[in-house]
Amino acid sequence: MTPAPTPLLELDGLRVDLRVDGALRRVIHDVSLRLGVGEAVGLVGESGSGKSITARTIMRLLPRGAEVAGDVRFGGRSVLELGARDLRRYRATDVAMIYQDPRAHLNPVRTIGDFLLEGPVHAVGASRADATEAAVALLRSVGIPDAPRRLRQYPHQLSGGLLQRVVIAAALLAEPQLILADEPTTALDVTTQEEVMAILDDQRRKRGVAMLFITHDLDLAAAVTDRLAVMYAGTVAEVGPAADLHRTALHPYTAGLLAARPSTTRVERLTTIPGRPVSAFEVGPGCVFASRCAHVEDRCRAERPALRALEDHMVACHRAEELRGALGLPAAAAR
Amino acid sequence: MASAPSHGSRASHRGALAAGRTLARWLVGPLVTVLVASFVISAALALAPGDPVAQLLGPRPTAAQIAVTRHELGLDRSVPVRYWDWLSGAVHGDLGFSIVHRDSVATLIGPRLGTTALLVAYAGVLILVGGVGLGILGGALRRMSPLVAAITGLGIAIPAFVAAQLLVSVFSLRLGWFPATGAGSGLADRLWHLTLPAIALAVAWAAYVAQITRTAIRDEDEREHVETARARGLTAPVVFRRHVLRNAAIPIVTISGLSIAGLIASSVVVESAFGLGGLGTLLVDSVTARDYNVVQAITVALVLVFVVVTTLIDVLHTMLDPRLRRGAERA
Repeated sequence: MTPAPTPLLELDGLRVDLRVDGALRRVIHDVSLRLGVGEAVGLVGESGSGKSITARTIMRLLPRGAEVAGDVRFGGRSVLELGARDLRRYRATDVAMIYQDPRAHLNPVRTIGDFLLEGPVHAVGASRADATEAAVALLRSVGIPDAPRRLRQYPHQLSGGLLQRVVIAAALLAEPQLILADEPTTALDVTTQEEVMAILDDQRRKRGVAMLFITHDLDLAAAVTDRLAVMYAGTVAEVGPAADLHRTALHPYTAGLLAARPSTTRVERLTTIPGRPVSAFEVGPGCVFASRCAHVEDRCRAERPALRALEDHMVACHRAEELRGALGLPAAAAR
Repeated sequence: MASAPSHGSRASHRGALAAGRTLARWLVGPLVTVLVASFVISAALALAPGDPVAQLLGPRPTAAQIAVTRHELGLDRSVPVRYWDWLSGAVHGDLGFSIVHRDSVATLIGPRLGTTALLVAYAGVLILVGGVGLGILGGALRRMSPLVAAITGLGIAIPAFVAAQLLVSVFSLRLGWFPATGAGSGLADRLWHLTLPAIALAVAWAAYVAQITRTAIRDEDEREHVETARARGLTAPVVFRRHVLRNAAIPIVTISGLSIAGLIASSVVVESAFGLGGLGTLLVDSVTARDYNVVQAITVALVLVFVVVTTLIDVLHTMLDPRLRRGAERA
C-alpha cells in the first residue's frame, strides 16, 4: 500500500497550542498524516486526544490566539499560508465539514433552504435557481424525497437524522475533494446512526471524495475507511490499513484500544487500559503513552519515538519490532 | 391520493385554529391586561388616604356641603360602580373632569401628550441609533469592544437628572446652543427645545441597550452555527449579517422595546428638570392635589403604552424566531 504520489492532504509535523486563560497549552504534539485523492482515513482516539483540533486546524478554524507549527498542505499548497480570499475559496470548494451535532451547527432561525443555498450562492456565486435545483437533487440522493417542502422548513421541524442528511447534502453540494466528518453519527439515535453513515459512505464513494473520518469507534471507522490513524494525547501513535488493523496492530496503545472494545458475542467484563487518558499538555519528554504502557522501559520515558514506517504501518514506538506478536491482540487470541 | 382533500381541509382547519390562538395572544391578552390594570388603579385611588373634597371645599366645610359635593363627584358610590362609570366613559373618549383644573381631563391631557410623546419618540430614536449602533460597533469590531464597554459603563452610571444638569450647564448656559427650559412651538422649534431633554432621558437607557447589544453579538459570534458559516467560506460581512446580527436581533429587539417603554416612566424626572409641562409633570401635580380622574387617565395611558410596546415586542419575536410560531408542523 504505497501512498499516492501527490497526496491530497498532508499534515506535516503539526503542532498546535491553544490559549487557555492567557497561557498557551499544547493540544497537538506532532501529527503527520497523508490522505490520497478519494481515500478515506479514520482518525480514531479517545476524547481529548486531539482529533477535532486536528480537523479544525485543517479548516483553519482554531480559536483566536492559537499557535500552529508544522504544515497543512492541500494539493501541495500550504493551507496555513493562504490569504483571506484563497482561504475562503478553499473552505467553500475544496473541503467540507460535517459536525457531530447538526442541530447546533445549523442556524435555528434560517430555513433549510437558506442553509443549503448560502454556500453555493454567497460563497461560490452560483445562481439561486441552479443552486436550488442541485440542492433538491442532492436531498433526494441522501434520502429526502420531499425536498421542496424541506427547503422551506426550519431546523427545529426536522429530526436529527434528517438534519444530518441535510448537512451531508450541504457538504456534497460544494463538490469538495475532501470531507472532514467529525463524529457525524454520535449525536444521533442509534437507529438512524447506521442509515446516516451508510448514506455518507455511499455518496462519498460514488463521487470519489476523500474523507477524514473522526470517531472513537474503531469498528465503525474500520468499516468505512481504507486506513486508520490512532491518536493519543495529541500525537499519532499508529497508522495502518483499516481492514486488518485488529490483527496487525504494532503500537501497545492500539492493541489496548482493540482489547477494550465490547464483544458482540461474549458477555464479560471489558478489558481496559490501566490509568487514565492523559492530555497532550501533561505528557513528559518521552513517549506520550509511557505512563500507561505495559511494555515501558527507560528509553520510552526519556525520548519521544518518531512516527516511522514498519511493514505497511506507520508507528511511533521504540519497541515496535520487539513487541511484534507479543501485544496479545484480541483477534489473534480468539483464533 | 384519496386522503389528499381531507388532509387539505385539516390543514386549513389547523391554520384557522392557529390564527385564532394568535389573535387571542396578541389582542385579547393585552386587552385583559389593560382592563385589570385600570380596575386596580381605580380601586387603589378610591382606597387611597386623603379626600379630594377637602381640597375642593377649603377649610371647615359643613357636613352637608361635604355630602353634596361627594354625591356630585360620585364618590359616595361603590368602587365597582365608579369603575364601570369611568370605563364606559373612557371608551367614548370621556375621561372625566379634573376637579383642580375645572376642565375635562381629555382637554387637559391633549397638548401635554404631544410634548411627552415627542420627547419619548426623540429619546427612542437616540436609543436605537446611539445604543444599538454603539453596541453593534462594540460587538462586531474586537478592537472597539473595550472602548464601547467603558463608554456604556459610564453612561449607565449617569441618572437622568444628573445628565440634565450637566447638559444644561454645558450646552445651554456655557455654549448657548440649546434652550434650557420650555417645550417650544412648531415641530422644528419643539425638536430644538427637546434635544437636551431627549439626550438626558436617553443616555442611561442607550448605554444599557448598547451593553446588551454588544454582549448579544459577542455571544452569537461564538455559536457553532456561525462557525459552520465560516467553514463554508462565507465572507465575514455575510456571516455577520446573515447569522450573527440576525440572531442577536432577538435580544436586541427585546431590550430596545423595554427601554422605550421604560422611558415613559423616566420622562417624569426629565420633564420637571427642563420645565417641559408634559404628562409626567401633570401626573405628579395631580397626585399631590388628589385630582384622581387625571391620575387615573395618565396611569392607564402609561399601562396602555407599556402593553402595546410589549405586544409589539412579542409580534416582532415571532417574526424573528420561527421556533416561536404556533402551528408550525413537525416532521
